[in-house]
Amino acid sequence: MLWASCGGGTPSKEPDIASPAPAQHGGLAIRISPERAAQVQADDTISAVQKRALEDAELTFAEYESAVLEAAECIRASGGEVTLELNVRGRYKYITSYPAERNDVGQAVSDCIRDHLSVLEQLWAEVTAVPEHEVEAAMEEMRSCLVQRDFFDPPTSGKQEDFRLYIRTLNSRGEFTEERMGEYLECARQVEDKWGLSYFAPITTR
Amino acid sequence: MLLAVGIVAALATALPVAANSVQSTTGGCTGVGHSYILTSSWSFTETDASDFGGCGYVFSQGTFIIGGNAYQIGPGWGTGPLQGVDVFENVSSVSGVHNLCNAGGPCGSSNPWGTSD
Repeated sequence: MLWASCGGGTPSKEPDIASPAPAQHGGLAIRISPERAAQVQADDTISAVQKRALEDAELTFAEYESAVLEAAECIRASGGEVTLELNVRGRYKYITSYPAERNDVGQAVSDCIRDHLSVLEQLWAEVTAVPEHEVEAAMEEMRSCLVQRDFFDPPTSGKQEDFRLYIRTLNSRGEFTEERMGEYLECARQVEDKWGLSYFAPITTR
Repeated sequence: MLLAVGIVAALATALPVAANSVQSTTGGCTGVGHSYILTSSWSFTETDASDFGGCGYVFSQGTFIIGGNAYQIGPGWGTGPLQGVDVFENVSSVSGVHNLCNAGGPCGSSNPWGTSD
């Protein structure tokens, strides 16, 4: 059993992930305090399905994955679509879509997530959070990748948000052509995949 | 220093064509959320939330209208104090729902807002 832990450390060039292969995420789990477990059980807004998963004050990867797949099934049965990607840390990235004029489907999609996943997703986000020193190392790689592609002076701070400011600046200067955007996306997706960052790369339907 | 000045100057000229923000406090945790549509040769859109203090993390969801379809990202795209999602598309509407989550406890109430152009 690999219990989640937080902490600092020196910047590394590789993610500190004990089990990068998706098949091995089975050892991941998060234990919640008895107080928090009691709080969940007493909360009328939390679905019975999610309460059952937390009855033993522990959330395992199998329980989390089962919740994600059930939510996805519910979304598809409601007329929506969903794409799922499991990252190296054992967290799913999901994007749902539906016809914009179908507010009823949109509501059903939100209900599916609320009923099957919302509380468990919050807990799982904690267990799979990327340590700060690894974020810094990932951003260093992002910078290097952009420099290799002749982007002018990408951020050196090691902070994700500064890359978001950076692309906004490029956009405001009219320097974010389709080609440059593609190059930026390539670097961002590569870094996101390697380090298991959540939603670092900009979203595009292309 | 020059770079910082440059970024500030650039941001000053990159005002969103549509934006909205909401600041909220829940259980001693204060934060703010934004939704932007920035348009140049490409639409550039984001929704984000920042923790001003006292929060465990923010837990957000964004919905973007692209070509007649609604794309919902999240809820939950991270556990840090400042979270955002950027979209490189021609987005006609964006809205975000951002939960401010108290440290070690459940999230507070949701604070929805939206913007469109």
